[in-house]
Amino acid sequence: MTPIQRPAPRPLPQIFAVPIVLGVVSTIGLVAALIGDDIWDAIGWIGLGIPLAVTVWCVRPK
Amino acid sequence: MLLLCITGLPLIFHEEIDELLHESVPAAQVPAGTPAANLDSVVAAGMAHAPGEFVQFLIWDRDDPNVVFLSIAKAPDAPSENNRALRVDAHTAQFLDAPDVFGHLTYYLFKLHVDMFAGLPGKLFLGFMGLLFVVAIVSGVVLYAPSMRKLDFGTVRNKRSRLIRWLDLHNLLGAVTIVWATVVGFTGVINTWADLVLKMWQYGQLSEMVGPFKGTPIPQQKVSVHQAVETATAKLPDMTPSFIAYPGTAFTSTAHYAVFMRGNTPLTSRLLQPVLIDARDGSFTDTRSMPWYVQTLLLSQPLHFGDYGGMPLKIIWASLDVITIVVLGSGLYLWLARRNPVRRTAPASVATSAKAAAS
Repeated sequence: MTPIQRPAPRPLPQIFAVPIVLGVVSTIGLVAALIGDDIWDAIGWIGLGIPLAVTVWCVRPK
Repeated sequence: MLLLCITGLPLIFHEEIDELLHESVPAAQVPAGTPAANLDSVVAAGMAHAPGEFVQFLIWDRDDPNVVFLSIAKAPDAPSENNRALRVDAHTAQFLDAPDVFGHLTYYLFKLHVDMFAGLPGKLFLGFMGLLFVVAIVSGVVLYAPSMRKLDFGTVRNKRSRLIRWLDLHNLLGAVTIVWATVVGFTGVINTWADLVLKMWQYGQLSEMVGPFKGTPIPQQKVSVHQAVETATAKLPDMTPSFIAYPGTAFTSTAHYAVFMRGNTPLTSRLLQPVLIDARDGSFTDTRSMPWYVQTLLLSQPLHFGDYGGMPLKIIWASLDVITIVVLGSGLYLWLARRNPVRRTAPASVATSAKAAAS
């Protein structure tokens, strides 16, 4: 263990903020594509595509 | 769960796979607005290739409006699981082919995915696994907080041990797929109850609608199915016929054609409403909206299959499925690593969250 400065533990809302936003976006995507065609399908692709894009961003080679 | 995710992956593309692997006779390409052939000629053309067998269901192909399927069996009231299918051109009433569905790769994958070739018990077992999957997701959420207390969202600690890297990946991938995985998991569980839902409907609403016709023998001479559909369409002019159940099958009485109508909007096209037509004289008997438990099942199907938003949605479905496979695999790895703690490099929270991930 290296004696690095430890950041203070984060409060729960902060920990879950991004997952909740992604969850809401996914839900919108799942439902939108069911409601209609064309534009609704496109909203569905975007809604479910955002979590995928975030994943790719986070695991990108640094 | 891994089996379900892995067999489910190709099933997302089952139409494309079938098209690629199996030749099928294409239906005639007709200009929009071409009137459909008389259904009696469609049935006659198909049955000329299946002497001694009986139509149980007539199904309009959802994906190809030029094709009508006839689902046929050895007897009008035989169980329908092993029915053969005939394809007939919807406009020219020409027989197309009789695809050997049971020889298709997708059929084996489908059976593995749905009931592991073990019928209703297999189905319910997989449904129970699906419920455990949902429980595992909830436990993952609970354990997400302690392991993310000191990290930004999406941090993957590449420089640390393999265990920590996989823990971070497990947390990240689990967090991005959670809603999708819960929805697909839970709608899958609902699908395993389909047989029970059908039984409930048979003993509930269907038997009320059939009323005094209960126990009537299957008529020898049936009225024209074309006429039955016209009567049904006249009753529900804002709906489109989806399939017809012939007298004696599980979806109707022994005395009625049940013409199942669907709505015309993307959402209502998933919902069905049966119209019962007396098969002896063609008169209208009854029609009612399906009860909530059937509607729930019908709406949960597209949400499980991912077949409601074109090819892009299928590709997204497949990507999320692959990520879920990684979440399951990493959960298993973390759990095994916890069980054999050769090198204790991980903090305590790794151990607990890994255990839950594997369950």
